[in-house]
Amino acid sequence: MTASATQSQPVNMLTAIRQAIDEEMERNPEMVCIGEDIGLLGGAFGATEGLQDEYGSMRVLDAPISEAGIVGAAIGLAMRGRPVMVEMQFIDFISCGFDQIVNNAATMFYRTGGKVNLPMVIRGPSGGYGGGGPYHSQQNEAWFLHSPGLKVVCPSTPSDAYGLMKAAIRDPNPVIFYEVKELYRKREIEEIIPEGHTVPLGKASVRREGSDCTIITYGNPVYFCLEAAERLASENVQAEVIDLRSLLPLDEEAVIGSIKKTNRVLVVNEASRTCGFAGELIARVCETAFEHLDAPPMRVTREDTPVPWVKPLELSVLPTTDKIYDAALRLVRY
Amino acid sequence: MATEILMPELGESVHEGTVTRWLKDIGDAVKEDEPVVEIMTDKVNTELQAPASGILVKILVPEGENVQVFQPLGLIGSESEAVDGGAPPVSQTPSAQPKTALETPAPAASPAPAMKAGNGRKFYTPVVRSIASRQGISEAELSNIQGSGEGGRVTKRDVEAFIASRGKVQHVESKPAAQPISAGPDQEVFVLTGMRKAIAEAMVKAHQIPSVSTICEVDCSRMVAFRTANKQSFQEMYGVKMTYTPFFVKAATEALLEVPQVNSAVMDDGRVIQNRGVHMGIAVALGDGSQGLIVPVLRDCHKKTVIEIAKALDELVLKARESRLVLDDLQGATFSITNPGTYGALFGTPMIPPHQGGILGTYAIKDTPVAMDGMIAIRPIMHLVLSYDHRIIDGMVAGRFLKSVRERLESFDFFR
Repeated sequence: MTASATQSQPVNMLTAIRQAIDEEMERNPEMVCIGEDIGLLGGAFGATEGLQDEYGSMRVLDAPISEAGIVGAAIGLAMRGRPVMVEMQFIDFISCGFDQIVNNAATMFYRTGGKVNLPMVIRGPSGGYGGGGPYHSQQNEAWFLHSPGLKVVCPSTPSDAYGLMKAAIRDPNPVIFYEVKELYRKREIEEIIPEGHTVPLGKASVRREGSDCTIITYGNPVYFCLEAAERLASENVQAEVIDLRSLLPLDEEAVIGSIKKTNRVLVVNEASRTCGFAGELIARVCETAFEHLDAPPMRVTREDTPVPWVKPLELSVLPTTDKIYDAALRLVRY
Repeated sequence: MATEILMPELGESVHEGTVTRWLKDIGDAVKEDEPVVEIMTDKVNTELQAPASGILVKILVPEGENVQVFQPLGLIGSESEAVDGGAPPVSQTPSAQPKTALETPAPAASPAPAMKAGNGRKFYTPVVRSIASRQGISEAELSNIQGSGEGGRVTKRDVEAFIASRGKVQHVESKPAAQPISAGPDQEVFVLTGMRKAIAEAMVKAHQIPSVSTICEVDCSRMVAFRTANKQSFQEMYGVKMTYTPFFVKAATEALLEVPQVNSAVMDDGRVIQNRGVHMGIAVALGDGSQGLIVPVLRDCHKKTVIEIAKALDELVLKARESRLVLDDLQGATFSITNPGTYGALFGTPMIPPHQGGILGTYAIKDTPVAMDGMIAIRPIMHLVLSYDHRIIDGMVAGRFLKSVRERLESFDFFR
């Protein structure tokens, strides 16, 4: 183990992720990491810093720039029972490995009649708000949620990232792990992670309790929703904020339970609108909790556009605290 | 996607209207801005223009039925939508708002309507419906709940409050429900709608004003002589018929400026507005009177000569009779005049329009024997009646005002 103990001092999300990978590498000598610049450089963001020194270049592999090749190699390793952590330098580039993921990885268990599991995690930095432009700002989870056979997670705190990373690595199925890069080094959310901390896949977290409306979200917008909820409280509106953490498996019980209480729901999702996960969530709410609705479900998402470079334009298409606040007010006043 | 023809907000206190006439039939082509439907509200009759070009594919509110503000009246769609009876309408967008002749400020936030379901059943949210069905709340009970949601929509909280209060209210409310009226063999039953309903409501409000009427007699000799001598040339010169009303308006305006207390009014919150200008409401009967009565406003009388008043009045009355009045023509009167003298009424006590301090009634001018300088003379005498709000005006002030009007009419010095 290279990193210092997380239990003693607050850590940021990047450190928590590195720590989780490190601990899993140590726990299971069969585990392999593969990705572009993850060894010698320690990853473009430093998520694998020191791992190659610790575990050697046969377990921490610097791969050529070929996402299809990387995922394909990882599938081969996983088929042989070796857990693999695949890093996408930016989650935007995952599309280059798309065929291997959706046609091979996602369907392996099915195609082999349940004989072959793929214990692999494909993780990478995602999301906008950083001026990254069209190629470095995506939140493209909908593609993989739409491909049965994959699990998808997107934590918003260091301890959730730590706990989910461990759970994802130990899960026998392929997991796509979205890491919000704007949260990697965010000081305000640093926290101490207790020893042996775990977060199961498929469990949401209620980040703020409220009775007037439910705001369902995940990733970076969790913080905008919490801010909006504070402002709503001054208008005497108590919003409940649920951080899904896992998108698939989905904690439907938490979502529906909250809506049965508040009767009003707003979904906030950084991804673009059409066919996004917000739409799926709203469809499920309508299917299972229709008789509990006192207002039409609403959503705040990215506009159906690429993410612009320029900050004001970027913010104009992405969910913001103001947009969430306005939508929530419309929702409760319906 | 079809475009909704929405009932616009035609004025601050206008919440509903009645569809008087559809100018297009289903299947007719309409052009954007072309009038499609005629609406009557308590204040104005107006035509709504099409918000988009296309085919009138659906009429949601038929003629004779009431329509709430922001409720869709009909749908304009494409040719193909006409076949399947109308595609789902696009959600309310500013461009889909119908345009009207009225320049009314847009509401700050355009609230979604507390809509009616297409089958005529009122819309309630799923949770309200499910609570209602579990608790055995009837459709009628639901419709009586005052909604706190947007556009008066009933929310879960409202229905829960209703349930909480239902038990209690039932004990207290021992008033027998009004018996439904059924028509006898030689009777007919109808409900008040549109202007008639509005007049009824305004009169109830007017009745709540503690009012007193004071009467005086006016010797109209000079006025009558002037009119007889000049009505021909007046019409030729100014293009409008000379009636007595412009003189009444002029005299009342000058008297209001002289006794400004009469030109003030108690508002709903109990505060009093003192008007500096004079905007005169003129009661105008429509048709033979069976079509109701409307009180358009002759603006800025204090700035107008009697000729200007005559011209403006002529235009206003014409507009009223041709149903061309717009909302602006009906708001902001500071005082009113009614002239039952036109149909020979000798004397009456007019009711004060709400938000005004008084109303002046001018009655029939009738040759009457009067005592003058110890002799009996025959003079054209008119009763002048002032009804005034006794909360702010006392008899002495009313008397001063009446005296001022009387002297102006008697001396008839309007063309100095």
